[in-house]
Amino acid sequence: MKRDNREIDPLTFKELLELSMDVKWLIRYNIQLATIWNLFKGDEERELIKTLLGRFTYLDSGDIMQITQKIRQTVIESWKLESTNTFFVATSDNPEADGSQAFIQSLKNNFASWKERNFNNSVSNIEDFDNNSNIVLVDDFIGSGKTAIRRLKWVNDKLYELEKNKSRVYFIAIAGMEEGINNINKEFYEELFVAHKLHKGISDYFSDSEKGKMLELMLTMEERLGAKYKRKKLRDFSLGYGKSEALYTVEALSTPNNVFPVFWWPVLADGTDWDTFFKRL
Amino acid sequence: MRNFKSYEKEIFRELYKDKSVDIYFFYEKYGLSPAHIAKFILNCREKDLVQYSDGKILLTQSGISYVDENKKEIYLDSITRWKKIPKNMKLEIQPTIEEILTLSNNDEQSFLQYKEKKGAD
Repeated sequence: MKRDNREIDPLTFKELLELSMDVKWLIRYNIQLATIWNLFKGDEERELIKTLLGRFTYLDSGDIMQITQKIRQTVIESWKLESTNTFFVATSDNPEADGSQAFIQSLKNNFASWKERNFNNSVSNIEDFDNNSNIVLVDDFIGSGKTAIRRLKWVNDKLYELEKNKSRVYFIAIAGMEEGINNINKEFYEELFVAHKLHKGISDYFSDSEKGKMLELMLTMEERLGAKYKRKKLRDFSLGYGKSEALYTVEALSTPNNVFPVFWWPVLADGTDWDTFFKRL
Repeated sequence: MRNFKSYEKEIFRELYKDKSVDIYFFYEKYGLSPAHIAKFILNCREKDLVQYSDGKILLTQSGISYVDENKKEIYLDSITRWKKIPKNMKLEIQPTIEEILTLSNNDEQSFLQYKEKKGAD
């Protein structure tokens, strides 16, 4: 932790200190906390930031360890799958490392007696599996559910095409938006395990009379951010991709774009970079 | 024995002196951030060493005893080992104060002459 040589008034100091005591993970983000506090100076804006930070699901390596233990229990005890014909597969179809692949690596530690061949970094590997296999698709986060649905459909179609009709498909994720999980359940009957079910940060918490006002306030706050970053447009991520209103991140993993952009969009309206809470790698 | 971080020592010393201290004082005097103080309070409150109320930290009775028990670590600054010059790297012949005064600053020539006179390497 660095010592603070910036100007800070006694009231703000007290507010930030008490917020860091309530939301403990903020202690490691003291610079970012002070930065966002300086960007949003209105009482209502600060109150909303404070409320949303308090609702965040912030997972560190210890939490991920616990989740992988739960997954082990589910896979072995509930689903009764065995190492001989079960394959964990990251939902990634991209050669670049992503969250699903990082999660596959964490899973390995809790399946010590399983072999390397049980863990696969890409869905393209399913061609190599025998008929009668259990394919456990792994993702770090479910937003709207569209990506998961697309992957499930692709895998099912592929299995049909390869005439591997005895194989079964499962899906696990660290966390997912309730809406996205419901969308998957509507389309597929596959077993689904999601360790953290998340609600929309504003719409699912505030009363009907407050909800509209708070969403309006957040949209006003987003005007402080740059309209474009590289080839991306802020309007596509307004309130989080797919209007997900997500409040979620995993330490050391890229933050999903479903999170409110005020926590990760890297440029301000005047074109300058700023020290955001989270990074998207 | 516990290794205290420098900010922990600073807060404990001030609390031991005044028992109840305004949090902003630690920012003004030591430049501590809200995160430093939040971390300190959370750690110490768990052990009942301090209480926090409305911008003030209070050292409890068990906190006072704790500082008494750890006085040596809290009040004495630890030796920074990398700052100590190993014995074999020290100049064997120590110049007297009069000799130092005859050497002008940044005068390499006079320093070499001094070494020659003393027969040092």
